[in-house]
Amino acid sequence: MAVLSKMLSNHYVKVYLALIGLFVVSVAGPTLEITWVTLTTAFGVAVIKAWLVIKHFMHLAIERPIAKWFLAASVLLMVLLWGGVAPDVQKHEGANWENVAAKAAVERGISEPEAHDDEAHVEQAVTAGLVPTAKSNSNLLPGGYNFTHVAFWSVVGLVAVGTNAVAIMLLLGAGLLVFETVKKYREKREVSP
Amino acid sequence: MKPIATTRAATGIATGKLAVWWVLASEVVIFGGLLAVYIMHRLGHPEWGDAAIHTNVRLGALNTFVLLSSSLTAVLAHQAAERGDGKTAARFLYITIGGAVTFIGVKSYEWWYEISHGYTIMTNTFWSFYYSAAGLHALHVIAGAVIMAFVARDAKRNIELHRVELIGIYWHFVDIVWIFLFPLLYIAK
Repeated sequence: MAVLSKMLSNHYVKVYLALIGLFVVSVAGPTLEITWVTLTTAFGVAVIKAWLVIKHFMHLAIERPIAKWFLAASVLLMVLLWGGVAPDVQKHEGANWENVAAKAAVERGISEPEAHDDEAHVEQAVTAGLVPTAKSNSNLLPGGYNFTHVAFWSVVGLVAVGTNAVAIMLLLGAGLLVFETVKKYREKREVSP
Repeated sequence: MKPIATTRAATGIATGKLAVWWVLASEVVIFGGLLAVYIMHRLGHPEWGDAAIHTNVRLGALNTFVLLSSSLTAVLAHQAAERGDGKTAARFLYITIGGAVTFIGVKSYEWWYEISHGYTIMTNTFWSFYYSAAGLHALHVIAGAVIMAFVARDAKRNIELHRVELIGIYWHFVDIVWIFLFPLLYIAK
């Protein structure tokens, strides 16, 4: 009893219990099948859960400002990506354009839902390799890329992981070097009149 | 004498911790970009809802519970390391590794079940995203568990205890990614 009481008095355990409570809400809310309740409980609660973990478990609130700047820069890059790409991807028509292929893909998907018969698909599952199926070939998305081709995702993975990670690390590293050099230069000037 | 952690002159932050935040900054772009693109397509393709019906919410929820619990043990390990209690820190890290193993076990069963029912990375764009995002996340779980095993081995002997916090920060990030993946891939039908 004393052990349990001691555990429950631990700040981290309290945060954990709050997270579990929110987790239950995020699972139970969408079962009501009301759109705004689903959005609030699933995605709104996810943001609160992430904030609790960042603040209390990762201690970002009491971390040095540079850690916050690092993360803020990355989030900004993500927002830029969204802002630049969303108008073409999220929407299928605009004032002077129409994405016929994307519209057709939506119509095809709604009118011909995939019939998944176990036996019929076991063979397909086993043989699923690098060669795209006829269906995946026909499922073309904006830009003419075949998003279901595993080779496409391999390239995207290499580009995303390789380029972004290396570019950001080099950029931040260069910034840090400049930052430290300037600081050392200032300190040197203060020491020598 | 070998220094435990060298603090950077300009930033006032330990080099190891700076490196972890540095890595996480790049991870935010990797996972953030992937999830942002998924959301854009999901909003533009209502038919993906039909595919999302087949993801297993119960197993997804179980894995969410496992990761949240492993985050608690990771932070308790950090708390023990702060007290200089390496053995307790190592014990909590081993429990966290157990969480990682459970997560991967559940995920493996889930994928086996889905693939054997014909839902592969080639089935359609939703499943392509599903396997890419969950697979990339699973790789991070495996990497974290392996690194944690090395940190725990040292922590048990009261060596390099500051690393307990570093692997903890990484582990919490892995948890946060799953916090967003769960509603996106399992809840939103």
